[in-house]
Amino acid sequence: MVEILLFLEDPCYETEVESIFSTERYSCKVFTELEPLQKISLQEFFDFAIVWGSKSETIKTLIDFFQKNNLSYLPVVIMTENKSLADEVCTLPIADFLLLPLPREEFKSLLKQICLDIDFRMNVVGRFNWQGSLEEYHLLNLVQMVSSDKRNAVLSIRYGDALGKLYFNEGKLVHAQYNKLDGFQALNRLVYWQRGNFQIVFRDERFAVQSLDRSNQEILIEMAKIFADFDRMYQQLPEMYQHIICNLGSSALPSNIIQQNVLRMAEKPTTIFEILVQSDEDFNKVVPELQRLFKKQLLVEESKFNELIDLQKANGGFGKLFYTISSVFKKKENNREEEDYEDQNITNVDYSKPSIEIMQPNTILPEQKKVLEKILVE
Amino acid sequence: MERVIYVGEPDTNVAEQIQERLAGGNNKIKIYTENHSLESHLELNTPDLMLFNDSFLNKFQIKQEFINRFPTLIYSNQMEIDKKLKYYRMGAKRVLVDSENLIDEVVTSTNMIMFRRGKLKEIRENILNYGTIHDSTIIEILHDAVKDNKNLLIKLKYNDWDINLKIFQGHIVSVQSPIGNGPDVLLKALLVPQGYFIIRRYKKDKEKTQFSASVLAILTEFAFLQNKIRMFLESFDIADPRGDINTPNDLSEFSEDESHIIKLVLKYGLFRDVLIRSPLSVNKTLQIFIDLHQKGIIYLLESEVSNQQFRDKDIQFLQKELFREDINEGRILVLGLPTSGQGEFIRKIAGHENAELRSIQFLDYARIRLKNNLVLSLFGISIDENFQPLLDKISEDILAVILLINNRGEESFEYTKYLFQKMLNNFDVSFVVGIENTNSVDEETIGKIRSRLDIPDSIEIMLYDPGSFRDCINLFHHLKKVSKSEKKRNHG
Repeated sequence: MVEILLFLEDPCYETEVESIFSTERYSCKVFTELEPLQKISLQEFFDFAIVWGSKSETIKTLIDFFQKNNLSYLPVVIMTENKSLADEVCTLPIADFLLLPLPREEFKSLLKQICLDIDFRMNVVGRFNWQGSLEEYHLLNLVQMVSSDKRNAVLSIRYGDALGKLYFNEGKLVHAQYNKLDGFQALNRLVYWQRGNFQIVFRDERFAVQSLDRSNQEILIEMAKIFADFDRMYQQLPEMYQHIICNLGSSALPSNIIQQNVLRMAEKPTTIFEILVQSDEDFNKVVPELQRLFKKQLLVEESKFNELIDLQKANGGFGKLFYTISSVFKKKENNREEEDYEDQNITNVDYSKPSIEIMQPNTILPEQKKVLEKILVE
Repeated sequence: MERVIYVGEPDTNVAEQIQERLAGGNNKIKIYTENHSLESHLELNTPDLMLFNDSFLNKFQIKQEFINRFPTLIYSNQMEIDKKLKYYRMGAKRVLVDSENLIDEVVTSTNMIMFRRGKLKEIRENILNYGTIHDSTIIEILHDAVKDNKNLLIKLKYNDWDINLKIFQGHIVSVQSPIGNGPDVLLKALLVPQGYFIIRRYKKDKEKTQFSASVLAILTEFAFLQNKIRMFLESFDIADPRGDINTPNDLSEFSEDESHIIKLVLKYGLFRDVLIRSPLSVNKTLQIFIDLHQKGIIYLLESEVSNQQFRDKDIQFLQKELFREDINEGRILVLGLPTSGQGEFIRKIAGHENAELRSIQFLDYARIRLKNNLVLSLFGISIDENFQPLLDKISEDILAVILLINNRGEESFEYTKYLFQKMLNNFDVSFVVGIENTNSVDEETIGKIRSRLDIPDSIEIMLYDPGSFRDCINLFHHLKKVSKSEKKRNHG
């Protein structure tokens, strides 16, 4: 079934919409106002968003909303009678632009083609089982999930070109590999990844290679320890995925090869995570050097650096620039990445713990209720 | 990554305008004003998109198969609606007809197709979590959601079925499916043996639910049910047997609930499908199934362990009908569109035979050693991309061709027909056609498929369940050669 979220600018087409999507193959929720549509898009899972109308502002607002709320996975299809709208929206990330009137068969073929284009099964290689984001499933969780499955599997985690692999024989983690490293050395480089993708592929045959000979429980404890060490060590540094850059204006010099390598990697805006992933060294060697580089102002946060350059241009003088950079670092604890729409509205301003109201099951039969009421009255 | 776009346009001026507008970025445009090199390039290369002027297709008699094999946009100043729809049925991504701003439209549509096949797909891969379902996938997802108090929207797809789960802070908020919305549907979701899932997280500060049972309570109940199912099936030594009705009894002698179960057994067969699709609770369905089985109304089809592997009579059949006396090794091609299930088919057989399965994109391969020193190589190939080059490489020693058809892939019938007829003429081997057994397939549908694909009468069209090893093997037993006279008649 294809679940569609449809914004209908002119309610007079409602009957037509109902008739188009009346088959079992489709389920369509129609809205004539943007606000309720936006609200439901956050709470439910749709396969498509269709805008049936001719106002480019509506389309832009909706796409902007989707992008700010992590809903840009939704293919947006525009249906309109206004041909000139194409010029206004053609630069937006839309999946198709359909000019009305359109034969139904053509419309359904086009929706089908979009479904095919975005269907992840078209990319499936081997006995692929699961793919997703490390933001949602941390490596520690994934290891436990694959372990409980008691099958032979390869768990790959990838960020850009960096690729780590964990091998399981009947659920037992037997080997980890990252570049030329294996065993705990490889795990040491992978355990703090919170961005990137993972893929689990099950296999019939066992793996002969072995670099981890402890039990899964022991390995998991060791991984948790590595993660805690990383967390503890990662003090006084900007957020791991924030853009940073080498400050070429600084008069300080790198004091060792690791610092030199880090600065080379940060010649263009990058993130600490990318530096850690690309580095040949363990995080316990790189993180202290990163701290020193920030202290020496050889590395700075990109957003602040641009502001400081502007300030320096306005006021003149490098001394002023460095003074301001150091003041930025004093304020660092309060720095936060710009929150998305939802965070601003729901979680950031007036944060309260999420709560759920659970309706109690009705365990009393109507006859029993009558008896109880009678007893209580008596 | 570079994106290669082929433009088939007889008018050099128009072709250059399109090239100018699309060039830049990662696009590499190749213009064809004549056919002489296009088809040979297509045999060896895989363009990301092809743009064809309708007049170019007509003038140079471009093979229809390319429209289905590669993403194709067709444009024209004018075109009859029937022709336009025909192109869509052949698998065209887009057919544009405009007398004024055709080039603008071609450029805009090209960018949109490239966006959804590239960037949008990448965005989806980053935002959504997805995968194929096996026995404990959903349980693992639920456990993880409880452990980390996650808010998740989960969509499960199993054949023609969709189940939507909403989990807030590790608690179930709602379960929606075509057969209902209660906790029992969640138990049924946990029984889903295959299919796939998509997950996305969501944010909300407060939720309200009528669902009073916790995830852990549901999982506990599921464990109890699993145990009950296991105890029932223990004596049959199989995980998912097929049920059948002993005699087509008059349903009036059964209670309403029993009639439901009998109808489901007749319709779906598979024990697990009966449990999932029953309007009754899993527990009640299971109990009625067991009772009817004990009364001898429902019986389970021969379901010993041997049923899950090639039996002697299967091997004898292969030896007698397919392998010639002097050979003991041969190949069987299993063809179908990417969604027709040839990969699952080969996986099913390889899995039961403990054979190694190798998969690369568009090709699944398993080499199965049978008794009597016979070796069977199964090749599962998608017929939309890279088909011809693959076929050229493996076409030697072919014993038989199994064509799998998904009844939902009707718009690709034209191309499937073209290809099947080509195979019939080029290969003097046995053929059989398998259609996935779903609700929508009946005798009339089979008749239509035979006629649309022009399948000779001597080739059997068999219904099969891709989840059933025995059904897959059954297709081998219906492999038949087509006589030369019938080929001629068909071709004529």
